[in-house]
Amino acid sequence: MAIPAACPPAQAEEASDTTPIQADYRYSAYREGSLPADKISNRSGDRYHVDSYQFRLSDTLAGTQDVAADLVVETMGGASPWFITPGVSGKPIQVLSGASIEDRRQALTLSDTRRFGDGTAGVDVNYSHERDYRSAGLGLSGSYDLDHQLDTLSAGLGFTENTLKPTGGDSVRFPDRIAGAHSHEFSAFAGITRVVNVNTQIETSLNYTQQAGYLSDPYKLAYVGGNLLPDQRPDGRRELAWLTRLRYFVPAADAALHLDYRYYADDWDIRAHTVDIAWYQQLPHDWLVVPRVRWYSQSQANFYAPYYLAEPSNYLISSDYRLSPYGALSLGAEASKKFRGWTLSARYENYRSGARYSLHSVDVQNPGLVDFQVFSIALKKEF
Amino acid sequence: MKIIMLRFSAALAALLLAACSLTPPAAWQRGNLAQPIMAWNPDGPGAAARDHTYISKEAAAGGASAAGGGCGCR
Repeated sequence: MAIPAACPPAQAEEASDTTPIQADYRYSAYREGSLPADKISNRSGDRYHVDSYQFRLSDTLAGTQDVAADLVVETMGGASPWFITPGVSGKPIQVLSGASIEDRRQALTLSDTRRFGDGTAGVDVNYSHERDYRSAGLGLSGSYDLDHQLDTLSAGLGFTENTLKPTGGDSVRFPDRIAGAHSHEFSAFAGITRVVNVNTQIETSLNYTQQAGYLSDPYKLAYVGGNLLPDQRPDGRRELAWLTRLRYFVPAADAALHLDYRYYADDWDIRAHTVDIAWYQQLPHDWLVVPRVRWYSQSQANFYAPYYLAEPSNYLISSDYRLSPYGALSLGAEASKKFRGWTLSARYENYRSGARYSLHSVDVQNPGLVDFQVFSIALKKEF
Repeated sequence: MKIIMLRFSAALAALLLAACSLTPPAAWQRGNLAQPIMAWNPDGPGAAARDHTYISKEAAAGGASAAGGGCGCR
């Protein structure tokens, strides 16, 4: 889900007043922090890194049609959490996969949104390819303005088909790893945007997603009573996300406050809260500075455990840190400068996760929780 | 963390109440709302990059759009 399949109509409206072709380029370097020696069994705790290159071309045709093409190319490599073993006094110890994972991902999204009177209709298609994973998706969206554009109703549907062919699947080295599998995802959203006053607008939306098929991680194992068994998750997942966003312009500061809150719940019993706050400060000479803070907290999946003393009766097992209870705090900042039709920007983010950021108390912290940093530069040009 | 969240929720509620207490503007009064920094996602590719990172590292996903192309990272 690198790029939304069905762009929110409100975003489509933003571009409808601009006629020049716009080209965007962004490079991002994602670097995970090393795990401390007391949490791992490997010699080195070095982890994953991703280099990402994004290209985007967008244009408005005849003032009523927004078209865009997004291309993402990523190269990734490094070590990932493999399984967890009980250490001294039951303390969980992480075993990493070793620096053997190398892959490349290419993803393309094409989108077309048209305005008809008080409404819009949009369609987009996307395709993502990795050595071991392919995904194709289709998205449809629409919006309708009410009460002289004070309110906007929006809705959309999305469908994605995924094919998985794990590296080394069904081999002598990894006999328990599957050779291939499929999954698909259906999603729908509906939202309403309201202009509250001359400086404030608010949007709230519900997003429902249903996944089916193979949803386990073929590269992860779980320690079960002295044996290592493949990660085994349910073959279905229903998710609900409620997102509310506020945009508040502060005339005295010539700045805008962005405040987003999302509540998430799924039928794996995970509940999560996300708060994202950003301050868009405009400065003289076409400078823009954006400090940002993001807090996240989730509860664990009902079948998750760092390790198992015996196999559960439902045979569902996973020690993936992404299904564990934890919280995370992210601090970041971006600065950009416009000059002669160009916009150059640079961004930095520092993400820290752990039980100390969780809304609820955490009995046993997963040793594989990730800390990361992202450095990013972007260039934009209007022709 | 609970105390911080309670204080944050109270501040958010106060802000929303203050924001909602005023009269909706006419079309010619919406200049501030039309500024690029008031967009839901002022930087589309940048927001897409951030979201991609979060959904590959966290259990929660979903926003103001239908789900898009899959990724082996999740």
